[in-house]
Amino acid sequence: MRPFNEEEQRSIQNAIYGYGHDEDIISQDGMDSVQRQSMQTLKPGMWLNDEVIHYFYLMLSKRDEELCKIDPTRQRSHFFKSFFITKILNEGSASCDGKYEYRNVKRWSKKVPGKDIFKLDKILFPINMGNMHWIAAVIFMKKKRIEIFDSMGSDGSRYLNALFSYIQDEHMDKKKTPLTDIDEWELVPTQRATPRQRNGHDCGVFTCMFADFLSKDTALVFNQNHINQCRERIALSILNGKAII
Amino acid sequence: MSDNEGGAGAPEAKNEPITIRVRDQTGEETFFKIKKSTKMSKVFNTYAQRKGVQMSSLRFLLDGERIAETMTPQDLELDDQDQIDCMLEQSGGL
Repeated sequence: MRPFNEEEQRSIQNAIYGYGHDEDIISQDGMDSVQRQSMQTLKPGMWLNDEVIHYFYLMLSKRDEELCKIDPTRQRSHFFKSFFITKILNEGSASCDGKYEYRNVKRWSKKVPGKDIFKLDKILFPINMGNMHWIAAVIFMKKKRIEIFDSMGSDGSRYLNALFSYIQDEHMDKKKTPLTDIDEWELVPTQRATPRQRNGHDCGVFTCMFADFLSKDTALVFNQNHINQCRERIALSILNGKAII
Repeated sequence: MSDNEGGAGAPEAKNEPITIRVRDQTGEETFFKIKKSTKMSKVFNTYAQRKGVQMSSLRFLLDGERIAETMTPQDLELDDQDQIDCMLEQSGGL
């Protein structure tokens, strides 16, 4: 990761520590925005909220779009919001909490590049666990692999199963045929080499960095020591309107 | 979308009120009758007030994407009885 120049440092400091109303919009892109109070969660030691994570994932999607323009052989990826898992597993539902239900997200692929998840290279998901913890899941469509990236090391099997069911149900719904080769798919829990947090507040930053590195096909060569710099990297990406390389 | 498209069986006037269903995470639905030209912020504010929560902690989604307050049902191509999701802010650190 490259160091920031003076001007970048100044705008990062200003965005994270500057004074103003909590609801001030710091960045906006189409339908999505980041309020000041969300931006302030990028201060070292603070928990990240969904707004920062989703906006950063949107910035990754902008970068992905650009990388695909430069390299026509590259296929697009898509970045869903954490509410995808919340909805597909009916989390918080009064009557069926935790129950998998494809119908709840059946229409969400309308917003995917090309409107077809089966043409994507990867699908990336931030996942919020019980309003306490953030992890990432990635469906590698071409490699036929679904993997969990949890900086606390959990296996995430219920999410692996839900996402595997999702691609099968989506194939049936959109293509009207069952997904073939289902036995070729690999469901992979968090690996021993997956970077770990060494405290009780940085999982959101790890969840951003997993997606940052994986979406540009880079090995996960960061660790806890880099995390405060990563917080600034997220802030700068949000301010620039595109994830920095 | 062009206004001339109309299509078969769509005789309704352009700005006739429609009913929008807001579904929260528990599964509870709240209904709003609004004109197609009304900004969604009106729905969001009323909803937050009724539920007694801060607007800034709510996330309104259509097909998984955030809905900006300045949009109207017309912009969003919402039809009568269409559903939007209302999710709660999520946080985590552990």
